[in-house]
Amino acid sequence: MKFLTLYYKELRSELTSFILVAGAIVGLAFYSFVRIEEPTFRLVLIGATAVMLPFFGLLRLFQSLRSEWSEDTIQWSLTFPVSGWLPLGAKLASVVTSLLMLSLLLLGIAYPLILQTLLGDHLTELAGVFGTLFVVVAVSYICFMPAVLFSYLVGRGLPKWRLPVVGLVFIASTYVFSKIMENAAVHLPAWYITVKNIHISDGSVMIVEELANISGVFGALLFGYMLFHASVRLWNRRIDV
Amino acid sequence: MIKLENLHKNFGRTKAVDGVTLDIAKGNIVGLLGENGSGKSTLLKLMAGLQFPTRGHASIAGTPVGRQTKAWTSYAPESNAFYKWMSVRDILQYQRLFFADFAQDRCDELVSFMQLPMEARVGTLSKGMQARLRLTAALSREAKVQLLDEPFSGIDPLSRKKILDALIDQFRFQEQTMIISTHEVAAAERLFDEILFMAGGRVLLQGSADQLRAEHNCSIEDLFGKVGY
Repeated sequence: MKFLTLYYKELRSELTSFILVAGAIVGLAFYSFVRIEEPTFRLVLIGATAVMLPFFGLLRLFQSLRSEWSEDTIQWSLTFPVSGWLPLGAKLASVVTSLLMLSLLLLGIAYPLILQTLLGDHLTELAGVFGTLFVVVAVSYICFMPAVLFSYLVGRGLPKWRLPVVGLVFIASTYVFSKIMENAAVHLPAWYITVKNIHISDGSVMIVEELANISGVFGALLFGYMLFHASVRLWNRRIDV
Repeated sequence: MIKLENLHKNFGRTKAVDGVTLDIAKGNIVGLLGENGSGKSTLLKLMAGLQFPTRGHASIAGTPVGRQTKAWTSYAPESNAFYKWMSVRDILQYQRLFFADFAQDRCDELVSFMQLPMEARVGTLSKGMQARLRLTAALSREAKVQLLDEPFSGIDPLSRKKILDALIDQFRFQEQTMIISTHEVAAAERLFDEILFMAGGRVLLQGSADQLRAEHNCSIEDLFGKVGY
């Protein structure tokens, strides 16, 4: 109940930025539909938007933490007799929820406007496989998000040089994340899934079937757990107002 | 009830609290007095578990200050700490959910007494109304310890007097230990059982209000003007 209340509070806090980004997606899709005739270019535009979404998530999570101090609400948040996993988990869950909804919105717009025209018969074939790949990528991405919590809280605990430290810790976390993923893929038993890549040339679409080893996702899970746990410990034992 | 042993809190090279040792008895109302920057707010935050001491030890009812003591400690900060988009109702519902000692009847009384508009958003409230909300949220709890940081700032003098009267007569739970930091010494001094004067992060003078008045042959307000300055 407490988690759900905090989760709802975080969702509500995000409403403005969510509406802005959702409006931008709709505007962009409308622009691409009205102004761009070539479906391939439309796909590129929508694809670029999809690539930007995870960055929005990281930025939003950072902003959500930062505003606790800039708005002074941290003084209230820290009076609650709860472990840090509740407020931090609620922040993480709400950003993931927003991203999921924005992704669905993007897909909902892209489907009738672009994908159906461009891919036609291949669409059904691709949907299932892309679904699996999407879940794997999304899980890895979500596991990376605690890096924002961790780096911000490390910086927050310092009397000065906060922002540079946040940046450095975040970059270091990104490096460690990539190394853990790499090593997990090499040292853990391989776990293959079939991936069908889309190749588009001269307006015609080719589907190429490939195998992809996704055992790196276990490394991502380990990384996510460790960094979230470390962030909760920082919240519980180091963070003050 | 509240025990502080050689408590230090540094911010870089600044010593906000510098070796404070205190023992505050259960049920006392303590006036925490001192100029701006004397360490009053930091001391209250250390007791509330909102800050970690650089050195030393703080405990409430024998339990080190931490998550457990937050369940019994009610803290009202000096400035608004509530989300501005939340309504008064939202804030009080939050308090009820997170604190087992939240007393709904007392809360209803306080809302009516403070004339708080339940549906208004915090961001639209005046400073005075925000201060009333902070007091309402804190006093609605049957907490063992109440820590109020400048609770009357922003409240007009007439209302302040009414609130001060009500604070003792109506809205204090029995055996509740209360620490109030304030600059409104003249108005509030009749509340205090005990006085703590702070300057430069240290406790300069401590004692029962009556004893200090008798020893120095002046009111607490006059004493406030003399001590340490």
